[in-house]
Amino acid sequence: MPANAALSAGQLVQLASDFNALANLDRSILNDPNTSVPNGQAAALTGDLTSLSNIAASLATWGAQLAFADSDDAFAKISAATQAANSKVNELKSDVTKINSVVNILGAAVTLGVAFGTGNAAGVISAAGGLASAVASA
Amino acid sequence: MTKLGPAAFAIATLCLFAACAPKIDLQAVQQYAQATADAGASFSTVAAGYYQSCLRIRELQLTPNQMPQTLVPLGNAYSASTPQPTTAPNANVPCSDAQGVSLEWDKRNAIVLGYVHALGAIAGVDVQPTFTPLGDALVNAKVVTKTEDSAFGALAAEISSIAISGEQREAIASEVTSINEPLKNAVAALKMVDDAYGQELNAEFNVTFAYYDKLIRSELPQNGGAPSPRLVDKIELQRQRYTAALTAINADRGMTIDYASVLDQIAKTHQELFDAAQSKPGLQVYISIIQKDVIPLYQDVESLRKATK
Repeated sequence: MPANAALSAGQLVQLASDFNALANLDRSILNDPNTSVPNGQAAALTGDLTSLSNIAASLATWGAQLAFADSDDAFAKISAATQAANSKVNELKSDVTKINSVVNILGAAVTLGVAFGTGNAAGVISAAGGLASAVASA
Repeated sequence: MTKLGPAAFAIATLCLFAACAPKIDLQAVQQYAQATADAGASFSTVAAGYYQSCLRIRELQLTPNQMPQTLVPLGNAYSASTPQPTTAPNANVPCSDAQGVSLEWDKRNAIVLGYVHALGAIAGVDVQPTFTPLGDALVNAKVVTKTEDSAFGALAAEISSIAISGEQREAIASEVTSINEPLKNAVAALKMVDDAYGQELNAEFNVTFAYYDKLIRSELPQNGGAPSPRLVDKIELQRQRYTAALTAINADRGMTIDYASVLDQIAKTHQELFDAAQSKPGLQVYISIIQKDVIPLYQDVESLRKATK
């Protein structure tokens, strides 16, 4: 890509279109059944057609490269926003996980309290284990 | 003091979150993301086409002596064996610039697709916590009945999910507000590259014509006599390949139009989300977004996918 290009990406692509249009003109002459193009001239026209098309392709590629360069900032912002969004997804999932953890602890605490109230030693041990497990996973 | 009952609390909470959170329809955002993701594979095919077109143009520019030998590979130039752009463009090889465009184009398509995917991921977080462990414990402790537990569990889950989904809508609103302008610029750049690809294909069309025109002219008897039956058969075969090549180029041209259409829909739907985030309209506006934008986006993606198969 030329440094400090004087033409914009859009102008380069438009120029590519103009060169293709010139090539089309040559093609229409060669295609015209009413025009009997002598072989020598046909070869010259075919050569022009190819050269014009090569220039068009090069201009198009420069235009594409310039379009990328001009939009670097926009794409950088979108990339940064995507990262922020992905972090937010993890944060939201974490919120749900935290609520579920608290609910688990509360449930286990209630079960432990009931076991104490009934004086069921085996139940106390089991419920205490459940509470410890809920706290550990929180 | 009058005790605030669960129902009144729920209504107060609902109103609170309804007033605070932007009116972003999370389901619409998920559909938007899904439709855009479906376009991903087709976008890569379109981007790779730039490099492949350049390679075909180069193959067609051979000296007349080389032409007959290359006709058979030319017939295969549109098959799956067509070279794909690699991750390491080499300035010393033909079409390295075009290869660079293909790679960058693919990369930037992925940036836009990744962003919309991330919006969908925010909208798609399952925000429904479970209160079953606590409810079961309370029922077992005979603190509440099974019926009361069901009502409590449903209420608690609803309030929690409203709080978190409010956060989801806030996050989406913040994203679409800050990215709306950059996305417009990015889509404009991608469409410019698409236009450039269109010109690359026009050039290929013209060079393909020139190749066959020159080849067939060189084969015809120079003295104006009738061609032999063998030569007539050969030229007929060449004409078939010529027609097949032009048909393939036209199919690629169709793809560029479909691609631009999908980009337009992506930008348009994003603009609708942006507007929704600013003006906090009613539900009908979101139904309208789905009907007017997301459904056409699905159709455009489907059309592009068929074109790139």
